[in-house]
Amino acid sequence: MIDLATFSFKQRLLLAVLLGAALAILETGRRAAPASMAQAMLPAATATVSGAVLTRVGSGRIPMPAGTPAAHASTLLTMPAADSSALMAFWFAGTRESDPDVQIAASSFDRRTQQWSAARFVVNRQTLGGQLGFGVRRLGNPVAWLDGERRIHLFVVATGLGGWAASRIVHLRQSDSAQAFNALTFDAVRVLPLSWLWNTSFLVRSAPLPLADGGMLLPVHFELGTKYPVALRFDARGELIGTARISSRHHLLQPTLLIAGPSHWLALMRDQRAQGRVAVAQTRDGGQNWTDSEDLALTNPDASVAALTLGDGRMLLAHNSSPHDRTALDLSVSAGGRNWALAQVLAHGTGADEYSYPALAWADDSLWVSYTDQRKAIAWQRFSFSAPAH
Amino acid sequence: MDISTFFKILFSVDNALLPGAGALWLSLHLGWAIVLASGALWLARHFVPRYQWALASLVLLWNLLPGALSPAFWLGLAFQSPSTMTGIICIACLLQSHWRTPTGAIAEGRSLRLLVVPGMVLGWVLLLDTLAWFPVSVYAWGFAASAVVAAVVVAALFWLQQGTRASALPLAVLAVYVLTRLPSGNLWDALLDPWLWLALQAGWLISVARRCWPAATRA
Repeated sequence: MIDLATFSFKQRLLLAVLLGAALAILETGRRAAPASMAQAMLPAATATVSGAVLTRVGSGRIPMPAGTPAAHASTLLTMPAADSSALMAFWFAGTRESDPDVQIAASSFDRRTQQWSAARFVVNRQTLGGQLGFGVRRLGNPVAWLDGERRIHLFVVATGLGGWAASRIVHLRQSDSAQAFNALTFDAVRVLPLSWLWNTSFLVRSAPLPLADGGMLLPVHFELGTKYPVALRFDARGELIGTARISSRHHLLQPTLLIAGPSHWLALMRDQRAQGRVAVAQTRDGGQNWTDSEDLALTNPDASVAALTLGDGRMLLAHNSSPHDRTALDLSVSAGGRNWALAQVLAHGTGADEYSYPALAWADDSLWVSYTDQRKAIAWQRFSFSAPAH
Repeated sequence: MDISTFFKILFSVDNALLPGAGALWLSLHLGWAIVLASGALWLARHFVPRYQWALASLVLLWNLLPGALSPAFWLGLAFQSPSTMTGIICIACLLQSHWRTPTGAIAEGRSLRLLVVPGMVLGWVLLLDTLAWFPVSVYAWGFAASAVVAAVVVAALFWLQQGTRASALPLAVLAVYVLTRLPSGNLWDALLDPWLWLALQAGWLISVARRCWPAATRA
């Protein structure tokens, strides 16, 4: 057996140089060439709606899995034009939030019947734990993305030892891109490595920003004690390739990303503070560097917001507009992301009513909104653009 | 690969390389198997060697069981995988009877002690970085090739200067990391985990106490 302690200095020098060079070559040789500066991809289909006004053309509740009384944190995924579904919705559902029986539910909106399908569970913590090799205590917010090979990726909050502050983000991928909705299954890819501290306290909530290279930027946040937003860059295959902090402030969470230009993006964020506003950060170099901007004038009652840029550059924001609770959910519109005007009332209630955690998507020439309805179901609304009345 | 591409790859922070799902599963179970087996061996240190190794082997196999039957399933829930450094230190401990020659023990111990303070400092930097105390993300740099190459240079110099088996530990960890990307694809997770960091600090505090109050800590 070779005994390292018997090597002379010259032998060690030779070995160290050879080993160092070999490791450096291996380390760089296995990596892909660096990704170019990220460019956002706008939804092209909305280019024809300039000057038009929003008209509600459909609304309702997405069917719940049988015997499931609670639902929260929906996300919408636009499906390709050739697919039988216009879009899919994912959310978490169970007896109540943080209950061990909470699973990730899904439903699809059929293009032919113009109906949501019966909901079914697609991820549960037992199967997920078996795939990962370690236990998962609770499941939370899901976010979906479709890669270039039409495989659905799900990013799901999964807790370890503790509550939501002990969360991790699990990356799952559709088992087979040819699966029909009724056979949809997912395989765990990995827990995203985001923190040294037992990889705890990162959560996902808002939809990714699609990139021109086929990849995407996934907004996430850290929330153990301090709260700060982070952007994760993925390549076209759905592999994590880099991370960047969005804000230097320590009270912002659940960022949602808006396209202001190919490499000029805004991050709108939930503010944890009382009397908070919708907070803003922006990047002008495709997410390499982010700077904090002045808060929007819009009130934020410590609640999640969702934003979407249309093909004509107009920006839409679904947000709770009541100062202290989640009884009012509105849709606002802006030309540049700084000044916002009310476009539609989505839901207004009273007392303990809650309409929250909105999601936005563009599919089949329509704007789709989903949101938590009283924590019991996921509501949806569909808007079309029509010429303004004269 | 031309030299400019080499340097572009070296200094990019947008080309992380992560391990696959199978490797992660194996890393979790094997990592905790090694850590717990070395712990079992330490607990059974007064047994005859045959029973020591039988116990360590049982613990090792227990961790390789699938699902909730394995302790790794529950340890991973809370703490994910141990670092490669912890795993290699535990392997070294398992083999310590082979290592401990009368003439080399003092030098090996001195080399290990030299790693304590850098390890403690790195842990504090990573903890504060997790809480976003710094303007740039140190953890994110752990995905970059430049961080690995810098660590290889430092580890090679340390081994060159010390020449002991213990001083080759960081280089061995880096070699395993470059070849496998374990445990997470981030360099810092390979070099140090929070449990190892806490152990380093506990060891350092005990050594300081022994120096400051030798009479009180003699028992």
